[in-house]
Amino acid sequence: MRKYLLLCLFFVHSLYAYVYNDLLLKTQATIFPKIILLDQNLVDKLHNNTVTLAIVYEKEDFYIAQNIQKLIEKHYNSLLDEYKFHVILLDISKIKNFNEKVTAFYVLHLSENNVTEVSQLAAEKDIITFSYDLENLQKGLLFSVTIEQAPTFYLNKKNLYPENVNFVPPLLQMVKFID
Amino acid sequence: MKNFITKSLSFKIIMLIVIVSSLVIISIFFVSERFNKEAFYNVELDKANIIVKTIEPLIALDLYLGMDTNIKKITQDLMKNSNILSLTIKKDSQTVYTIKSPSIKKQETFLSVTQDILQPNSKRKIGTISLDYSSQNYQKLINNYRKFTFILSFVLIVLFLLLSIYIQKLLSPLRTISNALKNYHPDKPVNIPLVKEHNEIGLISKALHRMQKKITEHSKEQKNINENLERLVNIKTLELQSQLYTNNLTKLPNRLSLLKSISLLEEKSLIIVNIDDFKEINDFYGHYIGDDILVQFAKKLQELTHTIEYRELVHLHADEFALLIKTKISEEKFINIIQTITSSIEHTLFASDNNMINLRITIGAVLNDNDPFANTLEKADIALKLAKKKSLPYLIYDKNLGIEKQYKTNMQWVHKLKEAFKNDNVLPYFQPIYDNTTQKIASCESLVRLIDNDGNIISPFHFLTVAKKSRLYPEITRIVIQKSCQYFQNIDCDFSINLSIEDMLHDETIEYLKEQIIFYNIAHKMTIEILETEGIENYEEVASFLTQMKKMGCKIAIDDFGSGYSSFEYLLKLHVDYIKIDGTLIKNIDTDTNSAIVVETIVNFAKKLNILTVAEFVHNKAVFEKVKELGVDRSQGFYLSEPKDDIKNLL
Repeated sequence: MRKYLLLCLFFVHSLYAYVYNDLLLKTQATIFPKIILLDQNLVDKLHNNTVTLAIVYEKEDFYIAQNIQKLIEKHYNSLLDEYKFHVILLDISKIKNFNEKVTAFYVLHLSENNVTEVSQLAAEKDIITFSYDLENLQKGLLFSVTIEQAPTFYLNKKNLYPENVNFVPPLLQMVKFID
Repeated sequence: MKNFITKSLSFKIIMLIVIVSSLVIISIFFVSERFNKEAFYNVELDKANIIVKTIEPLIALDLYLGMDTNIKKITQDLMKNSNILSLTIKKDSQTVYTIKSPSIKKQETFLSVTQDILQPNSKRKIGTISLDYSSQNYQKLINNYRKFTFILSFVLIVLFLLLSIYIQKLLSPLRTISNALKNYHPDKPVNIPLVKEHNEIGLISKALHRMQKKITEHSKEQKNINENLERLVNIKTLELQSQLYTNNLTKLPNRLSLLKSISLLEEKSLIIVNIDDFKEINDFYGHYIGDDILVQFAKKLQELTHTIEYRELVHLHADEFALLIKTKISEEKFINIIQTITSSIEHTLFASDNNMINLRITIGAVLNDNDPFANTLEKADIALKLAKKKSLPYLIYDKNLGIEKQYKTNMQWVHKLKEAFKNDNVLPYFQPIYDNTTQKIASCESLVRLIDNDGNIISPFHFLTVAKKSRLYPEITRIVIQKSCQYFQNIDCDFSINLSIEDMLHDETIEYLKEQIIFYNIAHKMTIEILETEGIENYEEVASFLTQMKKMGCKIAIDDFGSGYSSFEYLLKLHVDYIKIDGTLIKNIDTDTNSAIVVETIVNFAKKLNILTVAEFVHNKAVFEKVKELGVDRSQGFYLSEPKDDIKNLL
């Protein structure tokens, strides 16, 4: 009974869980850290010479977030170029009390309100934001990648904080801007 | 012609332009080719570099983000550029992507450019891009450049050719002017071309035209001046010729004319007429009257000789005229002419300025002389001199007179004397004069000797007369004075020198004597022997000189006393210290009673006047004993000692 109950819960949970594209996740997981390194103001965003990427998720996506964390850690082996690289998980429910210095948020699928909250925090603390969903860029997040014929970069021009986030020009030449 | 072309101004200018331009063009060509090649190469290299640099950031980002598809797309787009032959992208030494142009040809040259790929933010090297860029454009540029250069060179050559033609055309008027001037002569003016040209050639032509006019005018003036000068020169030449052969005073032909006439004749007779003592007329009446008399005398001679055929009357000089008879004449007729002239002149009174003057003449003549060496005048002159000497009214030259020989001898002696002066061979010899009481040398007489080239000692008998005639005598006196004073300067012995009246009247000789006496401080040793006292004409001057000498400390002796008409009066007036009795009285005194009486009288007279007597010409013991017996104080002669050049060993 207990097994059935757990199974039911799983299915119920699964019923409500968002469906992620594995290929896109993998692509983003490998590219986003590199994009962090293309910020010319990166040094200001470091804590103890450590690049910290926080994966922001809703409870339903905990496992997804955890898998992504493992994937990134495996890919980069805790080292991003010359910096230490630390990937943490951040539950959106705890974001109000979140005080750690992070370099970037990798935002998974969130509700609209949560996206706004994350984007406001990011703007407040000069944190680079990467979004799994392209649509979230219009809600205040900065960067996203989709897979079309080839990986395509998108950047929300409104959310670019010129003084604090300063990507190298070739990246800006490469991206597609969303107004 | 070829030489002219190479030396012509236009050729030189053109050649200079061609050489300089060629050098400049060649230099520019080589320099610019070198720089342009490098520039063209750099342009193509820059192009390749720009391409690489342009794509590097994109490639870098794609390579960094691992977006190989993007790299492929970029490179494929790039390969559309036909100049890009190949592109290779390496990541960490591993070739990630390489692409080659399908249109690449074998052996095509290219430029290779390699660029590091840097991480976009950290600029860390993450790979390399290698691009091979075609050098076709470079080759094309070089070819175009060469083509341009060749065209430019060709254009310049054409320009130089045109320039040279133009320069030749510009300078050709100079040749035209030169050709026109070739035949220029001051008397034949030429038409100078291009006078109307309004340029430098025109200016030159105008200047030449003006110059030609001036030269022509000047030439005419010069010609006139030359003609005038020539005329004047001719007149002057005639005048000078006339003066050359004419005596200005009497207008008779002169000596030069006579010599010319003599040289042209084979047989001729010549009469030289000399007016006796004409100098006195000049001195007494003055030169004006003297000249007037000469003119009258000339006229008189013309009157006397005008009937003689083939004659020429000549005025030789002041008081000497000559009559040249240019044909053979008999002796009788010749003598008749001479006597007529002599007689007529002596019976003529010449009147001038209220003065009536009678002239005497002496004639020397030569008859029918055919001497080819034109010595006729000299012969007549010799005859004249001999006639004067012998006080004859006239004398006709005869070679048997021996005058020429005497002249020759005299000339030889003159030559010998001059040689002796030059070689310092006129010397004093010293003959001792002994004191008859002590038998010791009392003094010495300096006697002049000449040493000829053979070393012979020559007595003055041979050359003194000639020396007097040839004015060499004062020099002999000076030599004897100087050398005698020098010799006796340091010898304890008196000496005497002989001075003639001529010496005593010769100012320079007297001054010299005084100088030497003072210089050697020798007056107290010196005795002056006066020669030729017989008939002293300038007694006052001689007496004055002797007084001066006595004042200086010299003693005076009268030489050759007793010969001729020696005057006792002089002994009193001249205050003499010695009397040297003439040798003619002494030489036979041992046998000739009369001589002994005369000598005794002289000795007695002298003793009363405290005058010492010297016997000359003591040539043997008998004479010596006799003079001693007669009381003569001193003796001199070959018996005692002949003259010597050095008598120190006798003292």
